[in-house]
Amino acid sequence: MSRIRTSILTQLAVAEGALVAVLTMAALLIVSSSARYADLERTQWPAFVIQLAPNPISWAVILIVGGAAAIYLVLRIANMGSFPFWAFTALLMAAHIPDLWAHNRIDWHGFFGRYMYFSEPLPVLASAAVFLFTVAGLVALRRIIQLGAQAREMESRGVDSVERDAVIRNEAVSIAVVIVVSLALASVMVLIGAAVGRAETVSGLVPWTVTTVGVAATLLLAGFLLFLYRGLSGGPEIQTIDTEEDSLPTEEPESEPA
Amino acid sequence: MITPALLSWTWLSLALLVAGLFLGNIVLLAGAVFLFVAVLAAGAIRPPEDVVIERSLPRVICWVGDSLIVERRLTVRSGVGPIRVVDPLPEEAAVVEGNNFRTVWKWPGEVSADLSYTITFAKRGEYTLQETVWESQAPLGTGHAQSGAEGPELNVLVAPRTADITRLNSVRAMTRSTLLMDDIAHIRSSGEEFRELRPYQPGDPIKSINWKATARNGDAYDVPLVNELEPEGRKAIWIFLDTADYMNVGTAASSPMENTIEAAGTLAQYYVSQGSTLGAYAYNTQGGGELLSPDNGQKQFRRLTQMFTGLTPGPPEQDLLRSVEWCKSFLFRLRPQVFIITRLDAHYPRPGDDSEQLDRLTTAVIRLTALRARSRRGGRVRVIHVSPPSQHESGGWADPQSDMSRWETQATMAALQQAGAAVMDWDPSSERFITTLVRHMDRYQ
Repeated sequence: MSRIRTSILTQLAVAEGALVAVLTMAALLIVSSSARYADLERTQWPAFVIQLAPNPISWAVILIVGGAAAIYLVLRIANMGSFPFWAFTALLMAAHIPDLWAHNRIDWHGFFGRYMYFSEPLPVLASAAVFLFTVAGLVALRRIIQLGAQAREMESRGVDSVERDAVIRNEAVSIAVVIVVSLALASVMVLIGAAVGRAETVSGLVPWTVTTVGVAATLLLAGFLLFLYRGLSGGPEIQTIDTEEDSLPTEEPESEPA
Repeated sequence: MITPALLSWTWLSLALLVAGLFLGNIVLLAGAVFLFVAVLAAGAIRPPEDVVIERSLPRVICWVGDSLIVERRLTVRSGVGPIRVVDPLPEEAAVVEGNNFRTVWKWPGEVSADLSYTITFAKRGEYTLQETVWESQAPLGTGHAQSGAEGPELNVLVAPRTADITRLNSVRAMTRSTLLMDDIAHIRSSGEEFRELRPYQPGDPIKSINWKATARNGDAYDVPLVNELEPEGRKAIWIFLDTADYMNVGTAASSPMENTIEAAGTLAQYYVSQGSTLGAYAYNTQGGGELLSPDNGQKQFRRLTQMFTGLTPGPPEQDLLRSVEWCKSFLFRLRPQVFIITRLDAHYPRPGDDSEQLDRLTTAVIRLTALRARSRRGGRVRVIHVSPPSQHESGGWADPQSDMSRWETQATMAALQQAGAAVMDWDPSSERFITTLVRHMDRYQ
């Protein structure tokens, strides 16, 4: 029985479609979870969202997930550049806002006597896990799109399929490694921050969790800016090696013409 | 190098950080931390560098259409990520096996790869294969990229291909002269000097069989071996090639210019193999004309090939008459058989053209024919017309331009035949030169 081999482009397309579906599903679940506990009198949720909310795994959910994925894929097939990706990113972020809003420690709106909670919060670790998963998924999705373009370019230039597949697979492995490492570091930081926040050693007024993670993020930002500066000032390095002096060929042809 | 992908992730992570700090939101901050770590991790990885590319060619001289392996070995010592390697090729070169564009992935540690490929050249000339260009990128496509050019430049001399002359060797009894002055034949007047042993061919005299050699090598050959003797007297051949820019029409691989060179090379190969003295003059080249002083032997053929390799079409400022004047000292000394290879339709006088091209061409032929008459040695002057490629696919309809060109050719041919030349009409798109030549010889037998 012959083994069915799918091309790397098909595999990337399948991975992209699956990731879009999973991210849409996650966004829908977080919206449902937020809306389920929403105080309907004080929020302005559209009625159709409320109707959908009570039962996340329903035909409507599947329809919305399929619809979002289909629109995304249509825009991608229409070759609209990076617009579909960023539009999808904006939609996902918008879907997370109600849940994220519930975890604010600084109630700026409270100073103005307004009460603006969209939902009862999920546990902070659950929210962070879903949000980190979404961001990591977006990073992976972006790279999958780029890898698809890279594979098509290599195909158009006649690169051997084995060579092309090896490069794409290694790229995929490297992105997976980076995402796992980044997720691990971010999780560790969040856990440390949460632990510090529970200590209540100095003052309950200071949000220690936020402070710890914020300082870490700021330090990372500093390192990141340094990296950016070096990249901008250095630019790509061009290496050239002097070649030997040209010499006219002196060899005789190996064979006479037939 | 800051890529758009890196910038977009930067903006997103900054937005999350600012929003997280402003709202005191741990989830947003966690997202910002994740993105910062991911971008920093990606940026910390150096792209492949310390690249060494070794490149070589097994031969630096080849024939048009020959396969030439470009041996290329890539060694990368540090960095992680994909590295692309491409050899810029001349327009006339085509990759027939492998690929000049390759991509290799590198993990930590040294990596070496054999990236050889095979090319072929469609046109004669001297070519330079530029240095190999490489470009590497860090994984994730977010940051560093490096590029450079490595490996030595390689020079290739592509010689024009000549037709297979086996058919000419088998043409029999083409001569009316016993002194090998006007023949293409293998039955000819032989001298006494031994040249080589060769297998018997129909038509060889029985007395030429070397029975001792046949007995010694009986296992190797099915036919007897005969003694090949040096021909008595040596024939002299002179080839005039027209290399004006009107010859340079059509494709790079097939134009009257390239076909002229193929025809001249074939004639030269045949006559050199017969021990003839060969001289040539290419007129209307870029910068004047190019002369190949007469000589014989395979070295002369190689010199001719080298001359052909560098021929570049030029403006039609130096016609055949001037060329004959230029070469007259050689022509008087050698009294050679002369071949003129050109496009006859280009010499037909057009309205308003007062250059008297046809008259001058005819005069040149008359002078060359006169050499024969005076010396009673010189061979017939042969003019080879190389048809230009048809400019229009007629699709069954008459092509007025093509018809006009044919008519002009016929008129010029008639004028030259009156002047005493034998004219061969070769259409490279319909048949090979050797076929035309054999048919022509049959006609003049």
